[in-house]
Amino acid sequence: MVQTIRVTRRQLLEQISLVAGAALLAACGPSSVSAPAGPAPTQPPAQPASAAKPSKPAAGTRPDELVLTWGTYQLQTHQLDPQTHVGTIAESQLRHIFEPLVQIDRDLQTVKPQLATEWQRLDDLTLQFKLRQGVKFHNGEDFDGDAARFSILRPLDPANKADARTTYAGISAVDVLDKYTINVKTAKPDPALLLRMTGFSMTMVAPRWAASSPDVFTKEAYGTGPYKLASWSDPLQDWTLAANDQYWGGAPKIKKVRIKTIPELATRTAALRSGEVHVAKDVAVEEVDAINKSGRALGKTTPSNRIPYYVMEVRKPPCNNKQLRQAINYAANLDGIIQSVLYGNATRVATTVAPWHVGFHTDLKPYPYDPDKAKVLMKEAGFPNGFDLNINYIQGRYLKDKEVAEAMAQELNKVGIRAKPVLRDAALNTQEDLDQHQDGLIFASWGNWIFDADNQLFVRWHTSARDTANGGKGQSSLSYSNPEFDKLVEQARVELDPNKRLDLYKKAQEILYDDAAALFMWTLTDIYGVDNWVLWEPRKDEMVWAHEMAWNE
Amino acid sequence: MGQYIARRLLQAVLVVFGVVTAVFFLLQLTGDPVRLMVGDGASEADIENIRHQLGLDRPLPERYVTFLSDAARGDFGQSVRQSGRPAMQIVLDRYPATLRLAFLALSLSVVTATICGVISAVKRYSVLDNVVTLLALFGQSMPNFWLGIMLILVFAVQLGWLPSQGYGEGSPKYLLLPTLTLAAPGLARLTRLVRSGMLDILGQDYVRTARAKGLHESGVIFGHALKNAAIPLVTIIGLDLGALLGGAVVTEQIFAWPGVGLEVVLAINGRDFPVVQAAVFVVATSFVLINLVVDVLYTWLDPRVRLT
Repeated sequence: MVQTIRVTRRQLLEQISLVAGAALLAACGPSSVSAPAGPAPTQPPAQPASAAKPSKPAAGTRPDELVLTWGTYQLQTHQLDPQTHVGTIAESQLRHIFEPLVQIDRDLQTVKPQLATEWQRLDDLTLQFKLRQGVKFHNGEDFDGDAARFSILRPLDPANKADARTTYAGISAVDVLDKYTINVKTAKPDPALLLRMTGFSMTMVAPRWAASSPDVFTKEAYGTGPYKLASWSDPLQDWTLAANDQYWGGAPKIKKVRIKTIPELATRTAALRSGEVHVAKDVAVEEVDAINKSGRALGKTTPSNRIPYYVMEVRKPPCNNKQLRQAINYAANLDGIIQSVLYGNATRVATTVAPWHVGFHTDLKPYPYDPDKAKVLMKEAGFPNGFDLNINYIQGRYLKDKEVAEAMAQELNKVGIRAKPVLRDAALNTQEDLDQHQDGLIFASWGNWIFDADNQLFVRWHTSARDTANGGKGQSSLSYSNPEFDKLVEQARVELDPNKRLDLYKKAQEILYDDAAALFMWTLTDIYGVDNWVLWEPRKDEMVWAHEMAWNE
Repeated sequence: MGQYIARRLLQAVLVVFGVVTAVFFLLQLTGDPVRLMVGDGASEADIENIRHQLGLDRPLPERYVTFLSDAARGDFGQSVRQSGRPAMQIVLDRYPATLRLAFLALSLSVVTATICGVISAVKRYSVLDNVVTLLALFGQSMPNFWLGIMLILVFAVQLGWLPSQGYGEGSPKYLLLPTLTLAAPGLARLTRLVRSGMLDILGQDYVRTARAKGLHESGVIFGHALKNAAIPLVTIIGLDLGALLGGAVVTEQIFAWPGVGLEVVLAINGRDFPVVQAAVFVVATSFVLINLVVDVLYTWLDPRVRLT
């Protein structure tokens, strides 16, 4: 027994030596197959024939398929179910396949017909839609009133676990009048109802398919959109789309599309520079020059619908003092920070409402940089020698968030505000926020997905937000309360006359501004890398859609 | 031998139990998964509801006991983020991609390290030896993420030979850069080990005897010296493989490689406790088992070693 084992052992060792020897010979020979010569691969490996690629695509042939790229995997949560997601990346990807009744245009103000051709308000509680006729879902099911009713009600059912369910919870019923007419009813007057209907959760899904089994969304996707799902394995891998040649709006110009996620910023930028991807959302701001000089792609920017801001904890010192809050707004030098830290990639806003939102106050100008005024306010408030202030920031989520917090602290220190940036891990930040352990400035950000001031001013600043937060226990980042403000946003919520509603929101924004309930900052700028083969301009609402692109030929 | 293996298996169970327990409690300190999961748009009632569904409103000791009894049956619960898919299934689905990368990186480092180490030892203090030693030092001290990005910039952006990232439905050209990145540190370490092992053995009496009896030099090196120098490598290879399986996190992130490492980073960021726990369990178990196999192999390869 021992004998045989010893022999096999020797044989094995001999074989190891043989293999190593053979490899050594191969490596020394003239026709080396692969393998770098040393531990650090300074020598390029032989080029595999299949990887051959023209190095200058501009002079070569155009790519066969369009590759769209993002940095975050958002489909893990609900896979291919468009109605339960909330993220803008998931929306951007899945709305190649699925469409709502109405869609917001590029200006983020005009509502365009999509699967509904016209609509009218019948009374305070009813919005009537005429549906597009002759449209079929990708699996052959008809799109009609019943399909629309099914799709609108589906995300409202708590059993379907739609992440944005509360945004649509005001819808009380959908009546099908005839095959192509439906009435959408709300329990209370809802001036933002039409905008709500542009939302991601309100996309139309093929009813028989969607109702057939709970896990259909992990395998298939059947909508009415310009693209059909062509291949899909799982949320961490590339997947592809093919043009829907029967699309009611005409077949899209680009026939094959690949959806890819590259989490690492440096890799994403490199993939763009090597021509492997054609449109990349969020490329490194420092790399934009290199991308432009590469002759292969261009960096393109657009103001984004996302608004970051620092909420002030108004119940605790030092931010329980209005003059100090205003002083912070005057002293933070945000315009300077936009130039020096963000390379100009942000646009100031006076409060937390963006210029393209319904209810935006055009005449309200952002707090200017005025350190002297800040000092005067501090003196009046009884803090001529400054005060301590925590800046609770998070890192790695938005463009240069950490650097911005540090620069703000520096600026505030110049007028004597002893600001201290405190890094909060995103999840831990939430916990401390809920435990109400935070004071000073607390980072927040909002991408208003229905483009209406209600979905910001009411849900973040009305007293009810403070009082219902965290199951009534409260949280640090929702501390604001002003009865006068409350009254205005409550009235605006049910005011159907657009002019009166705008006046209410204007007054509300003036109060919020004067109260300095937050350190009001900016709308971010989105930076896209776009290959020279692709004709496309970015949108403000972060949507990257192949059907809005064409080959540059 | 049988008794030894049984004892080691028992130890393995204890180690995995310890790891899983540590991870369970550490995760509890890191924040609320539900908040992260639902995003900004959800109401407080929704949040409470989900917390209740997931059992996160129950006291910690109770949750721990439930967790252990489920885990003992291989049930790590359902993913918090991924619509209730079983956590273990999510991890196992990702395992093949990681295994592919890990075994290829290991093979690359073993073969290349043996070649370079032998050359280095035989041609000691030559230019070649100095180059290999320098590269080994470089490879061992270079951070992985930096190497990965440099490889991408050279081979994908400048030369345009290889894809910069992605899984490419399993196509081999997509494997090259991640494999090189992952293999580099182990490769460097192994090279130095082979070199010093060979140098040690080439000075031994039996090597002189082999030469004295007129054996060809290649026979001496491959037949006698390398065989003996290879024995300690087995231990290092075992440790390396364990580290490769668990440590591909950075490489997978850089190259968007859909393996366990990428999944676990996403799960940690989303506080998806069940998936993190299942992944830690799988990796810890693999690590312990591989090293058990290595120890057993060792006695077989080198009969002088006795397990007691």
